[in-house]
Amino acid sequence: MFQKFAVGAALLSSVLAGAALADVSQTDVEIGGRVLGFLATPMSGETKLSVVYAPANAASVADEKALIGLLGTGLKAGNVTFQPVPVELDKVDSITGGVVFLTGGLGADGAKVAAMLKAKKLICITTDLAAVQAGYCAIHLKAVPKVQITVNKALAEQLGISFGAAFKLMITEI
Amino acid sequence: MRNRTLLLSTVVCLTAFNVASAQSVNYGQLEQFFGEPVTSSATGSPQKATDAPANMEIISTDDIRHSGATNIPDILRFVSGLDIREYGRGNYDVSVRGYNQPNAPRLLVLVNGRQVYSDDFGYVAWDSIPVQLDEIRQIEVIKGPNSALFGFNAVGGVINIITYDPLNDQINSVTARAGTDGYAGGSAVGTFHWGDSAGLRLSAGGYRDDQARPTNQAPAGSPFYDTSPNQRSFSADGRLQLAPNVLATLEGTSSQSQHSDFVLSYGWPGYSTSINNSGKLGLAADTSLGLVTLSAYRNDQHYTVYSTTGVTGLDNISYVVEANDLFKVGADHTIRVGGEYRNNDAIGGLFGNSTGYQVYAGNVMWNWQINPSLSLTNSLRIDHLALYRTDPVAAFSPYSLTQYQNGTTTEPSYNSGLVYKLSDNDTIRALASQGVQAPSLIDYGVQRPITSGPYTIGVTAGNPDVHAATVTNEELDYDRELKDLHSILRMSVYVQKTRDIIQPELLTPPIFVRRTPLPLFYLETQNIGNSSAVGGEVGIKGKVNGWRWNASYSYIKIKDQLSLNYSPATPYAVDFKDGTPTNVLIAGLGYSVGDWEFDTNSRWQSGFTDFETNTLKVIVPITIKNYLTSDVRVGYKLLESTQVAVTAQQLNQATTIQNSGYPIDRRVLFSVNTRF
Repeated sequence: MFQKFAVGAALLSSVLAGAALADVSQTDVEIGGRVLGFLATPMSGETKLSVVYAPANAASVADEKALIGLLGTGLKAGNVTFQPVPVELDKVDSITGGVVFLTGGLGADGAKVAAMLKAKKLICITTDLAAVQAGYCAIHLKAVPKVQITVNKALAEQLGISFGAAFKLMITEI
Repeated sequence: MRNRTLLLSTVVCLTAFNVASAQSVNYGQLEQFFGEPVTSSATGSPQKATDAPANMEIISTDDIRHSGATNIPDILRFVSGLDIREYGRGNYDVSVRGYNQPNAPRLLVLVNGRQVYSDDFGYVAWDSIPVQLDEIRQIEVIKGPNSALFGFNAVGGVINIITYDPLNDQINSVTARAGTDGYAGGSAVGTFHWGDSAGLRLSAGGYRDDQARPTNQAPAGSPFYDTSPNQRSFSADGRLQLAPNVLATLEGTSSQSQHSDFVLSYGWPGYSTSINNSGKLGLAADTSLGLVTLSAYRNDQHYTVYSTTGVTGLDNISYVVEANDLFKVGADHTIRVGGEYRNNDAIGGLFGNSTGYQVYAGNVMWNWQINPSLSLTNSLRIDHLALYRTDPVAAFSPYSLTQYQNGTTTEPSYNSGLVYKLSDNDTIRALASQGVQAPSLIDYGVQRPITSGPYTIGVTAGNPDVHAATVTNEELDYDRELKDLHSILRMSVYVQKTRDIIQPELLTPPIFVRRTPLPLFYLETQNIGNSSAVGGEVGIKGKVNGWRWNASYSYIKIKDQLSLNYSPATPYAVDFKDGTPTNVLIAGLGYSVGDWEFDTNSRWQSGFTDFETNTLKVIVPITIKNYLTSDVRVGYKLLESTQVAVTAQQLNQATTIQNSGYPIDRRVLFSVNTRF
């Protein structure tokens, strides 16, 4: 009961804050790339970044546009070079491989992405904390004022995401 | 043999774990990622410095360069809450939050976790630390006790010197220095890599100068007048990735130093040499049981003092084996469990023969992330110390061999810290801790007859019954990031209590015993009472657009409840109340523009009472007046990788009297540093 309430509250706050979520910065992207270097099996090289957005959701579209604009035809972040691919929410099942970036403000629609992630065991990153709290994406990135990483422990375990011990000790798990 | 078998079995077990991940701790990578220094000196777990449940200052590589200093104590001089006494060139004593004295026993110093505190006399031989400034990643200064992590003697504070990682950092550097007082020195650091799995950093350096000058106890020309303090050291630090999840550390160091030893309150002016060697083997494994670390090291010190009372010395050999496991339970709990074995042995003239102790310790740390803004950390450690002695005690010793062989003590220590992040910019820490200061090997076991002609008239004796001293500290800290000022404001207030202060045998008044044909006296280590302190520090530090600045004020007020206060009848007593500067102001300003760097650092401190030996060879208190010392440095990038610098230490005054040792003269230093 409490968990349902918490998820509901997280989703509500996500919707209410939707307009403010469209602020993905280059620092967020760089943090996202470098996080992948702390995985138990670090990622490197060219990596497809599927940017999942909802065309009818202004905040989500704003995130998508900002991100695609930042990444251009490819952006090096840490040891990976992200190759962006915009993916509409209704077409998430078409994603194969790489890393998923969940745009902000999707609310309960994030459940569709979570189902796909679990089926395909893909890593998901986002700047939308509510999506991680709700279990729709595994890794939340916060770059300012200080770098902070929040990981949904249950989802990460389902997706087979594990970090090196030292890094794991320095992040927030929920 | 059994111990070796156990160690080998453990190593085999470590590598056989079904590992969950494939990384080792890479502090440089973590620091780069989180955008701030990372430390494990507060709890044993890697943390962002701002999250640590401890009052900690971190001195960075840039801070070290900007200081223009040639040694670590001169860098620490400009850290709030620290007291630095330079009794002679290369002969420093450092304390955190007061209670400084010759052979300061309350500050534990480590290099990458290896203790460089000397257990023989219970002090830090700063000149013997085998580290070059160019290979230091950061110096971590913890104020207040941290025995629950590091064990004995982390009572006033801890300084952990962290060097670069030879596997992940490429540091190659050559530095040459020259200065007034005939100073000449230099260092070289080189890093070698073999693929991605092996790295070795070698470093060497040293200096000499002619700073010493005659005193009333050692006039020029006397055999005890040391005219050329000098030091040289070598270090080899290797990392080997044995498996994706297992990292081995191999380290060897050697140093040799000589400096004046005018510890005047000891009444044996002269100079000393110290030869130190160490070897360390470590293993870190990222396993399904957590981050498991094992380390074993040996410290070997050969110390000789040449003084008016003759030539004597000792060898101190210590073996330490540590094992820790650090793991998470659920999402919110981090646990560390650990154990330590230590064998500390002293052999030589000051002891008669071998005396020492073994320590068995267990510790546990529990960090609870109550919510994203609030965390609670509790650490507990129990140390059990057992004395041993292999040879008979000196004639007329007040203690029997059995007493030296049966002495034991069991001491608990704890650290508790609540960290509350009021906002992204505000952090409050509430800290409570208890640290334990063990008696030194000298305090426990020195055996030295004092003779007059054919007669033994006295005995200097360690006391196997002396108690460990405990220091408790309660503290409240507040940090605020001032974004508009590009600065961080830090404030702290604390209350500290020291119980069972240990007074070394040479600093206690003689106990006379009637005996024929001459009376006999004992000099023995004693617990001389308690002392309490209240104090605080407030400071601001920031940087923007090439500018950098810092300013701090620290205050401490001490109240002694000693059984031995100074009087002409007890001239060897100490006085912490008046022996600590009450007020200290520190300020620094720097600016980098183009190829130029300009820095200045100043320290003003109020007066205090020190002790010296007068011409009648009687210990008397002397007043050290307040003083101001200001250093100025200018650096210029001559080539892309080469910088030249000139530093004027104590530019504002030709000479200052900072303690009862040598007067401190203005010094000008020139340096050339090349990195490649």
